[in-house]
Amino acid sequence: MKSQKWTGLFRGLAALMACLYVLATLGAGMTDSYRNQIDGMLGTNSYVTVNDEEAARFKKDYATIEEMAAAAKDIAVREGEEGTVVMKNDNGALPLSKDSEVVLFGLAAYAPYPYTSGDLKAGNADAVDLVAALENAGVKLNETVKNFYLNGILNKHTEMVPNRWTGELQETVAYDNIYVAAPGDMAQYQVVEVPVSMFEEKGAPADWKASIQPGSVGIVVFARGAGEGNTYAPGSALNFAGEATGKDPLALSDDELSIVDVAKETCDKVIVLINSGNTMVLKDIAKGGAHEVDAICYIGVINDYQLTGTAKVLLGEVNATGALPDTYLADNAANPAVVNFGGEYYADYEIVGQEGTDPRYPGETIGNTKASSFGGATTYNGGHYIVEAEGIYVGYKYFETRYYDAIMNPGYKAVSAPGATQGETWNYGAEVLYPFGHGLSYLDYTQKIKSLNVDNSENGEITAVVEIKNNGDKEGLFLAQLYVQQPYTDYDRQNLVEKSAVTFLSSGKVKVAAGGTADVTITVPTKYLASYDYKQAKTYILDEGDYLFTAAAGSHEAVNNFLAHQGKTVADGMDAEAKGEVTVWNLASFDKTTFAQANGTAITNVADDADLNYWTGKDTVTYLSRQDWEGTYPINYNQVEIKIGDSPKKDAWIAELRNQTYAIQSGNPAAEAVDKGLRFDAANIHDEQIADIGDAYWDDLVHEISIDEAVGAVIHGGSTSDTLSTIENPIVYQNEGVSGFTSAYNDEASGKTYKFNIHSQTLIGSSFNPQLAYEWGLVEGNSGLWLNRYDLWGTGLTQRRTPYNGRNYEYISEHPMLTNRIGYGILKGCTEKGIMNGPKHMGFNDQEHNRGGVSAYMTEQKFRETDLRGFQGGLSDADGMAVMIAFNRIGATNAAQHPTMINKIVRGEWGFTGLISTDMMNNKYYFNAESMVMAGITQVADFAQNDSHINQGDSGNDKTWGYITLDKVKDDATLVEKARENLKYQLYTFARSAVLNVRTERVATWWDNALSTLKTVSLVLAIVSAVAWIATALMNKKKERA
Amino acid sequence: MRMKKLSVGACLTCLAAVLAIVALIAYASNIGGEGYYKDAAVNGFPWMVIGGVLCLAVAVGLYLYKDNKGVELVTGILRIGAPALMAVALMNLIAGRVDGLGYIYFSNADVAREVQTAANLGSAQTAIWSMALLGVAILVAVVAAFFRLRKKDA
Repeated sequence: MKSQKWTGLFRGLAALMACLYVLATLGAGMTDSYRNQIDGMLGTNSYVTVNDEEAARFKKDYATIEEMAAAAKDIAVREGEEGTVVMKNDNGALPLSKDSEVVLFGLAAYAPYPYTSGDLKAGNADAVDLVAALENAGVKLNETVKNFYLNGILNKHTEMVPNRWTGELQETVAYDNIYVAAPGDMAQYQVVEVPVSMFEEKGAPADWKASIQPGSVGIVVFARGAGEGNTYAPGSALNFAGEATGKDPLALSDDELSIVDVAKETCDKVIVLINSGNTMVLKDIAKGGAHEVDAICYIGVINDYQLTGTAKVLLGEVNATGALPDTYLADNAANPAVVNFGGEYYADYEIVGQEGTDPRYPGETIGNTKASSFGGATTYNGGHYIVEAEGIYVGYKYFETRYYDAIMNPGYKAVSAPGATQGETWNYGAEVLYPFGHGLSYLDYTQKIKSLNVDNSENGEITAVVEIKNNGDKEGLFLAQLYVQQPYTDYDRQNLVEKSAVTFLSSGKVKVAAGGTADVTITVPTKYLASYDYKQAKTYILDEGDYLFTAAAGSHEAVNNFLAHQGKTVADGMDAEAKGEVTVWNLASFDKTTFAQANGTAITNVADDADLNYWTGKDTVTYLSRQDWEGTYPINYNQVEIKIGDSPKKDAWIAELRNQTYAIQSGNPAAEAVDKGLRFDAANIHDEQIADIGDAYWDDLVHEISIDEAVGAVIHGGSTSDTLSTIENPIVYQNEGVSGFTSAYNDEASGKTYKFNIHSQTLIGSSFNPQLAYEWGLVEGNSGLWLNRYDLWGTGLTQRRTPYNGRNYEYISEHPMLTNRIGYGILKGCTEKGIMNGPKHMGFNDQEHNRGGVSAYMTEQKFRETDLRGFQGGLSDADGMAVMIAFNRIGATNAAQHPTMINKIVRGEWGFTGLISTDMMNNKYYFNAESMVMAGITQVADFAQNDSHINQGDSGNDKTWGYITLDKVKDDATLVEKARENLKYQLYTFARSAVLNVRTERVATWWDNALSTLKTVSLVLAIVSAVAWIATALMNKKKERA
Repeated sequence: MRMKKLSVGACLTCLAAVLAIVALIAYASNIGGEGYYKDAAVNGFPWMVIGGVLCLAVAVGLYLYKDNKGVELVTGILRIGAPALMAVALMNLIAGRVDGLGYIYFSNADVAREVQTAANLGSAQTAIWSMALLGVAILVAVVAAFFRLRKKDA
């Protein structure tokens, strides 16, 4: 009887404990999901924030500010070493001998561009100009010439100049005579170079030539300026006297050539250094030119320390490994993109304007004329267009493909008149002076592909191991460049899928001992091998056939390697025999599926309306196709009468040109905020939230933001993000610029000031070294951590479509893949340090002239394979955290309002989760607030201050877009939800970055411990009770039987 | 006659099964009726409750049918397992309902005005009832496990 009682007791206990175990186990999981709320209710803390330096998610790599500065300086010097390009080197002009006296000629020799500090140049106290760099390296300079240039011609002094933005007078470096640093907006450009005939007038002694010793080397430096809002106008050059010459401002002027001539007259050898971010015309001094010099080097747009590296190259202390990021031409007019440059008005552009009838702006007369680069007019600015009829054939892709077809495919009529500037018919050798990727090495070397692997899966990579053999007698650094030729098939010809005969993929550098060999491994995502077929497959395709890979010193050497592999020789018209071998990878069958999706997003046409033909409804534009160079070479569409009113899509076209991509809807009320107690802080944001934007926390967080703040914060940003009152987020300040953070670090201990914007975009481009770009990214990121600044517009990745864009000095190359790989390196480095480095200006900022409104028309293949590809590496492959959108239109749509470019491609296909900002919002009639929200912009750069709401204007209307009211917005749930989604990306990115540079650690609360104890105790007791129950039950039955 | 030998344990077990069935009915009416939880089924919940009820029913049935060592062990396991299974169901139901209950009862005034409709409040109450009923069923089943299913033979 007793034991039967025990049986019941144990069975009951077993049931009770089993239940408690279930409740404790599942309850622990559930409480974990509501940890923040439970903490709030019980007053416990599940996370502790560890904010000492060691626990930071992003740590500085340098212990002291001196080490930080030294690392920055080291990168800058290496940019000079690796980015200086030896374009021409005859008669043993280079390397320089320290025994020879050097005579420096030209204004830029004593004041290299840029000569003032600011966004582009740091201006540290120990900055090195060319004179200092050469003298520090032990070079003896001719003092007579130096003195009359410095003291007579230049006469450096300071002037008080009004600040461009604030108007405040500030002390600025000035010279009596200096080259024009800003060419203006399609204005006449005066090439200021004091001609030799005026030397004595400007202070040179009459016998200055006698001061030059026999055996001297003349170094002549020529510069061209650039800048925001600046665009060179072809044919606009003025000479030193201010007279129009009709010459290209990027060509050497007669005054400049007089300097070359006197250098040739007085020195044994003459070297010209090109100090510009805009590709200059050097025909006069190149081989066969009337003023041919011994050597030409490209030194880009320098910064504080790069010239120390350049001097090392000139002296041969390091091997020359720089390569040209652009094609140098005998005449820039040979570039097919130049045919359609600048833009023109539609014949009936006025029909877009409205006189008081725009419901958003009742009573206002809104025109449709151009505005200046900085806004200021009441205009939709939709009257002006350019047609990018050259398609993908920008830079070397055009010149090398046409050269290839001239030999390989005579039926394509490459040898024909259109595009020829140096003769009746087109001839590569006459048109191209120095090809893309060209750069002479001091040390003789060969390069070949040792092994090649192509993983043609969606996320696969091409891996090429390139073997470099150093045939020289000194150890040195060498550059390996990987090129490919994709098959150009009948399918491509039928469907106008354009293919370059040669495409640069990536590059790398390696140090090789004298006489030795070393390998460089180059990897690049295979997706970049695919071409976009916008007509048939409407996605990316890989054609069947042979893909030819080669390692070559430039695009032209590569295409010659391909021609030789295909059986051609000099006898067939090649201008040189092949120097390298070709490795073949074959794709057996046509593939239109592998690259038809990315990041779970199906890839198909999203920019049909970027094509002018879409709007005109007829074949107004013929885009360049290699299958008929003669028949499809671009005409100047600026001279074609294009009437909006004749379009079958007239109304939609006008609406788009009035910037009404999206109109605020009604009848769909938005949900107001729900405060769930979540906050943007370390207590709420842990590793799992940082790892996944899909974590429910982010949606819940942004649904705590009021409608007023959600929309207001997106449409009013720029200088700073906004504090969103409910969620208590930090505000984040934006910083310039492309050379690095412009802010200074003031070291209180030493009293010294350090500036870290010491980088050169031009020289990182001509370094052709993605690894160096990555190392700069890390240094740039470190400098942000030292400066406590985390959000930076810190590089430019727009394609250099023509040489005339005033922003080219901020960009990398004419070629998207070089830009892509350099951008990948810079953004990867910054991301690893938690710095949001946003490249400028995605979406075809191909000219500064009328940038705030010009329509750039193009095919979708060009749309995807040119400018956007330049950004893809940094934003997608390197997981970058920010980007700035261009000013201009893509087709008729403001790039900042282009919903498919941003939402489908950038967010969808690229999986980009970072900030997306507009450029300067300077025209409310052009930038449409609701359309930008719907396009996915996370912050409109209108330079608003913190705490922006819709209803801060008069009578509760928005202070900029007066037709927007809180009540109106409240009735459009789609708009409000999109604004919240955009803020989700912004807040998520802040959390990913060094803005939240703390680590949180989970600790067990008393209720965690209670649940854990309950779980263990109940499990043990359940097992013990069950065993005891079984034992007693069996004993009872035995007794009953007995 | 075994029926006459039904104990407190058997009665409580039957009561637990009935309460669980009522909880299941409340759940069905919750997801079938108008209101916040309409169509908001909780994955596996009905099967777990039915499983628990079946365990209890089989335990009682087996004991009425036969009383030996094997039956004692099997019914014991069923009586221990049934409340545990129903506890799993209860926790799943709570996990599936807690967000909504918070939204309905603890939103700020603006939202509460919109969300606290009669249908939503009714739906929330039914959800609470189904949880409460299942909780009581578990409790009763646990208590029942302390008692024999059959009165001791005189």
